[in-house]
Amino acid sequence: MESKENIAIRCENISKEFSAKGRKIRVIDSLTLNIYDNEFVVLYGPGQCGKTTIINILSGLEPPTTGEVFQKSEKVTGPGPQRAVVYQSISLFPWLTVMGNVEFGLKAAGVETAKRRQRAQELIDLVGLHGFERAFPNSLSGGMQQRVGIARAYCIAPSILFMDEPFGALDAQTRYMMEQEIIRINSKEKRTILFVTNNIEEAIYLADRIIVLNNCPTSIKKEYKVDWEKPRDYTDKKFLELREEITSIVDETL
Amino acid sequence: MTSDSSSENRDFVKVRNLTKSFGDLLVLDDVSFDVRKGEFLCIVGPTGCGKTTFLNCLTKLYSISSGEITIDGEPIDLKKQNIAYIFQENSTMPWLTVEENIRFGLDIKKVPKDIAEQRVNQMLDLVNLRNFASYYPKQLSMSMLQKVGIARAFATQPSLLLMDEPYSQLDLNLRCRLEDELIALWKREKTTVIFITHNIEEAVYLGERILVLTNKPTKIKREIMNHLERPRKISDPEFVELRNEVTSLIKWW
Repeated sequence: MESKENIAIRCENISKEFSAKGRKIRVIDSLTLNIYDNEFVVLYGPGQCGKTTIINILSGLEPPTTGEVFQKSEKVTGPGPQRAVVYQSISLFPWLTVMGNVEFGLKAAGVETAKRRQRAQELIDLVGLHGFERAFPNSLSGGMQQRVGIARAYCIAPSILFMDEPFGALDAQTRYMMEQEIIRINSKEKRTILFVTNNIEEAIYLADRIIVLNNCPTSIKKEYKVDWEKPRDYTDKKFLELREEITSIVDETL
Repeated sequence: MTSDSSSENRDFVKVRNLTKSFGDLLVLDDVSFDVRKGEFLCIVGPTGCGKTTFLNCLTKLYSISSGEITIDGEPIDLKKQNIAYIFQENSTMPWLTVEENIRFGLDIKKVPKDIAEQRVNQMLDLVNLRNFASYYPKQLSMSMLQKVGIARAFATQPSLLLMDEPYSQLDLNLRCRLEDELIALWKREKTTVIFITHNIEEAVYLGERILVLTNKPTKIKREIMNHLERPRKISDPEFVELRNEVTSLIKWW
């Protein structure tokens, strides 16, 4: 399964430094990572450990200081329609309706109206927002807004989806619902997903593979393959055991 | 009069037929319950069920539509009764240092300087912020800010402490540690705590008793006693059983 041809995106020895007040701070230290086709990979680590920087580099929004990123055989040098990002701060366009937000990427790509509407409608239906096409973001709840963000990301049919703590601002129950929804949506529109979270329950619920990160400078601490069937049960014995194990190896520096 | 003290114990906070509506919208529908002195009570309910409205009625931030709430036999009066409130969001004052933030309530209550000093020092140690006493909020992490809020509340030795999802913005590992710290403080100070949360696991981890609320209009669906030994363990079968029971009462997702 995991052969070279199946690698969806990979980065080799990437490092990232920022300068602050004349000092150089190394945020990522020689990180090498392969993500395979249709794999659901979760990056799990403590707050401010550089998870978002990894997403920014892999999606092409920021260049690494050293090292390279390849999607299939193509070098990633900037953002592109093959890579979509869903953010925690939902970042919908407040002046556009749900339909306007979801079709935005296709419109920008010059897809004709009837075609892009049809595709956007599919996604709106898939995320459970049928009937809300003409609603504006400010009239939707946090969970519904995040559904729009997810539909917008899927709509351009990227081969890789990056999700940067998309449910971090939701309450615990709405979060369970959205986690369930992501599993359902992704079984209908299968994609390669790199998902970032600091919530260990969420990581185990979603992941095919969990990559536990070290704190700044970020490097890989340990990897866990989770091959149990989905959807999973949060209070299953093996679920809780894995949770305790991962919790025990993570830096607890405040 | 032993019977007297035990009945006072049982009904430290009494809520009777509490009803609150906003216009036509009935949010709290005839809610009644008691809280024992020194008890740690958790309240959970489905998203949007009116948990925060309930706390706001208790603190008189909202007026109630009908019903009665008494503390120690008297109607709630924030001037007389010592009630502290810890919010979900950071509520430290940005222009004060950690130490000054913790002292804030004591100054308002005109606690003598030397006693205040002692309380502040004790709190700094209890929440492990001694080394950050002279820092300003913007220099601290979210979890440290939440600790300052908790220290500030406990410093005034409140007779009733209300907590509205104080840890929901924090990651799980940190949350567990802060929860342990909270339990230690509660045991030491013998404070009566009402803790509101969306998080079922958190309610089972903390509470001696759990009130499960219904959806709006909100009523009490079930009262569950929680005698699990502390420190509690999330993978303990009894813990899991209780958590699943509460989940089944609330689950809408």
